[in-house]
Amino acid sequence: MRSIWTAAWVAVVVLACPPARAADAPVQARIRVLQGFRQGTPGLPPGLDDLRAQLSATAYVRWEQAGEVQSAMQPKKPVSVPLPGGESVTVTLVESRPGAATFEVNAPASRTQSRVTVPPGKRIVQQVTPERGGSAWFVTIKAGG
Amino acid sequence: MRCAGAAPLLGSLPGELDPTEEALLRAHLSTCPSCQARQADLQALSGLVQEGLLVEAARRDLSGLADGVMARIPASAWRGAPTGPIGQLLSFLRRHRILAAASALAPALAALALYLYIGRTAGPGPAGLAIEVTSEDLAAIVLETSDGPVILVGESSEGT
Repeated sequence: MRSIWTAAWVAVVVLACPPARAADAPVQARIRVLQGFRQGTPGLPPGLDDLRAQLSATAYVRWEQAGEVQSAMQPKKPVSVPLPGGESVTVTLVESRPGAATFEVNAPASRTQSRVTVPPGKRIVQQVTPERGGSAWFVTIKAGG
Repeated sequence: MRCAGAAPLLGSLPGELDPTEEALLRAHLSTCPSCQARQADLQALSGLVQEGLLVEAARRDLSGLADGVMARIPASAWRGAPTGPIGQLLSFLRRHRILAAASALAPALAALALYLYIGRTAGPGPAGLAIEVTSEDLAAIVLETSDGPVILVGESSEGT
């Protein structure tokens, strides 16, 4: 009789534990800083080919990569990504679980904050500054490197 | 103390009265022959009953008394008879162990079902995509593409 009660409680504890462990897992993230231009010769540098589908959906025609940060992000620990000109963007892994990761991007320059949940392999492209002189700054985040 | 007050105290056993009552009774008995006689009768009767019981007890064989009494006590009384609704419920569960096991496993099965349900609904794929954008000054636009979302900010002062 006592063993049945014990087994039941063990089952409850085991079932409750996996989501908590998964939510604490670090996520390897690749964060790139891009500048998009309204004018110029349309095209993407070879290193940005994987972003073609997303970047071509915008009104910016020429792109340049200005920086990159690769980080094993821990939940709730923000990573600061510097932008040329002294500004910066904060990227925080809010939560990770099998099949999805949630990132928060805080862009003081555009006073914009986003929280996006994406599955592995998908990328977030976010404009982080208002357009100035026909160009704007973007960050892209890809979970899983 | 008068005889009417002393009467209930007569025949009391040693230590049964408090010191005040004992002193009052002793004082009354020293002056009342009637109560003295009654006290003597009661003491004699008590002695006779006690002696008679001892003789009767000695005549009987009580060696099996303890075993007989213990044999008639139900097993449940050893751990305390069920008292109150909780005790009765525990007693019921002891008698219906399969029902008790099923009720113990019910929360575990419910937790398993909830866990599987959450795992299914929060899995990868478009249904798992969630986007919240807050902009204080600029309008935010979200474009959803096959490779993921694109968040743009415009010139308008309306936030999204």
